[in-house]
Amino acid sequence: MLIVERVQAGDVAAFDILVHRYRERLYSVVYNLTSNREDAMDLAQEAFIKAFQSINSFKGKSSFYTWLYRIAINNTLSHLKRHRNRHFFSFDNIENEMSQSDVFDAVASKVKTEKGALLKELQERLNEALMKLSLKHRSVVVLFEIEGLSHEEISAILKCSVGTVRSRLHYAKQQLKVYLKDLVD
Amino acid sequence: MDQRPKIELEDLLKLKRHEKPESEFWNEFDTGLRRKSLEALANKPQGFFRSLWAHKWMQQVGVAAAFAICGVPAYFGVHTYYASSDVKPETDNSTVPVMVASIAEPTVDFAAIERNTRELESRKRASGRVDFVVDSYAVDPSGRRLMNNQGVAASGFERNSNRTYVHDLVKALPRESAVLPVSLSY
Repeated sequence: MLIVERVQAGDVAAFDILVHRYRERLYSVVYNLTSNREDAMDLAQEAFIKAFQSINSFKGKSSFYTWLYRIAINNTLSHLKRHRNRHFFSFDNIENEMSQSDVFDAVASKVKTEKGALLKELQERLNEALMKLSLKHRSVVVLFEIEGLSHEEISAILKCSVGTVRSRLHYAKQQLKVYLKDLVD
Repeated sequence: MDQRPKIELEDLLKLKRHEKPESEFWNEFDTGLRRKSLEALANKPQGFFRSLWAHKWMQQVGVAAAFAICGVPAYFGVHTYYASSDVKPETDNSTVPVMVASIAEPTVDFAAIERNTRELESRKRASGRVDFVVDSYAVDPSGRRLMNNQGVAASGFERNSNRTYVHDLVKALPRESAVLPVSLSY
């Protein structure tokens, strides 16, 4: 029996397995949409609760994580619309591996900034640039470029066509290139 | 010549994958999720009934149920009362008004009305026309009814030497026809 089916059959403990399996991915997508770690934690938790409450409406037409992502993203977009004028950044830590990446080295040599200072600055610049995008464009960029989902998966989550996903992605990247033009070649 | 690798937007965005919460964060996450799950569970009945009420057919069922619970017993209760007592709504408009009193809300004691009704009707049968005499009294705004302090009303009365002789007893005064209570002597 699949874990989801166990939850649907009333095995509450089985839902913990799903939480532990998807919590990091779910939190990540919400964090990248909000750029606020406290909001992201609340919204990801709410998404899990909503998923649990409506688990019987999951019919298996899509994968469970697509369904879960849809709940989390809709919940997050509703939150962001409600608090349209509120922008508080609250960042997660940056892993050390970032400062060892080739891209980071390239940025450091381009902007001629000391690596330690650049780390924080780069984080702020990337988050600010994402927050300047509209919600629908930000969602597509986050899901495709950061979370690594396919166009088809994104179209299933956002309930729009693959063509719409592609065009939103193209437009969003054009915008981001403008916002980050001093960093991008 | 510049030897550094070309910086693509896509590579830059992938750097965001390195933004991760520390490991202790997940303990806080799990604790918060458990607490919120319990809260959601505790609030579920309210949400459940509210969602049920959102259906129009459920509202109709609710109204019907409310009527069945409150309306039907109330309806049969009133009819049973009138059927089992001599108290009837006022219908006699034949008496001449004496005076008009100011309006006040009467407190009607129906048990006392029933007691008085039985007693006064037995007096009426024994002594003929006059039922009782009042020293002070009040009438309703229409001037057609007189009432004692227990809500007993008479539609027929006459005055003689500062005394009022009351006959044609006895009516229960409907609440909406407000009259002042009076002292009454037999």
